[in-house]
Amino acid sequence: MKRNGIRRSLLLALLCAAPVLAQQTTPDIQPAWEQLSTAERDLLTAPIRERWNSNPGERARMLEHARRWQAMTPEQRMRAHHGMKRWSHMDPEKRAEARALFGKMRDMSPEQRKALREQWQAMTPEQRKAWIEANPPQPRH
Amino acid sequence: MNINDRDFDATLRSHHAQALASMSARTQAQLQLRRRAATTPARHTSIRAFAWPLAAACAAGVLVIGLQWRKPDTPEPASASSIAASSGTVDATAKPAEDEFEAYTALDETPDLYLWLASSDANTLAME
Repeated sequence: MKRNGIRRSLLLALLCAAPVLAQQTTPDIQPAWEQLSTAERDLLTAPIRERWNSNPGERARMLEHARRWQAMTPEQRMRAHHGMKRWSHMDPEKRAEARALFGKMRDMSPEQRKALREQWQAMTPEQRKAWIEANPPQPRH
Repeated sequence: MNINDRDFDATLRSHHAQALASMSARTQAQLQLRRRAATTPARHTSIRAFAWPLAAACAAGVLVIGLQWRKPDTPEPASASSIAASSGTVDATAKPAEDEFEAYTALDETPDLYLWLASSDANTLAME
């Protein structure tokens, strides 16, 4: 009887401890931003700080872009994140094309965009290059 | 025991034998099992001996399930730049190498350009 009691106690303890053990065996979870020390926050924001300090002429633009990120819905932010990944794989020539096409298309009606898409797909690389030169990307703002 | 009693006893035994003969094999097997279980109390001990390892195995199963449940919720250790970039800008679950890039480029271009690059327009134009 006594042994059975011990067994039951051990089993109960194991069952109760399961969630705790599970939590203890997971990797460290970093605390929320509010719980970080000033030194940790400084460390984490270092890339942005460096960017900000080394480009005085771009600060207004960076701030504007940060505001735009903030204004986006979570779904838009997620899609923009995918777009940013695509951007990371593009060479400078493709980026110039993207800037020009985006700048042109953003003010177009759906019909005009469709027409430009079809026109673009029918173009040769030389024609596309000529189109980019004729429609340079708008200055970044 | 007089003759009437003897006849009565013989008649009952005969009825019993007929009843047994007409019983299905399944019922007979069940009765045998129950009789054996009732007459061998040691079996209870052996069943109980299996019960505890079984319970312990179940407990271990609960522990494993608990571990599995915890794993999907666990974010990858975040790099410095990923957290910096995620402070209102990008996804914090991205890989460190990409985070490094994102931390520097998230504010370079208008986020609307990145949004457009994920659109069907950009897909059609094969922007890669």
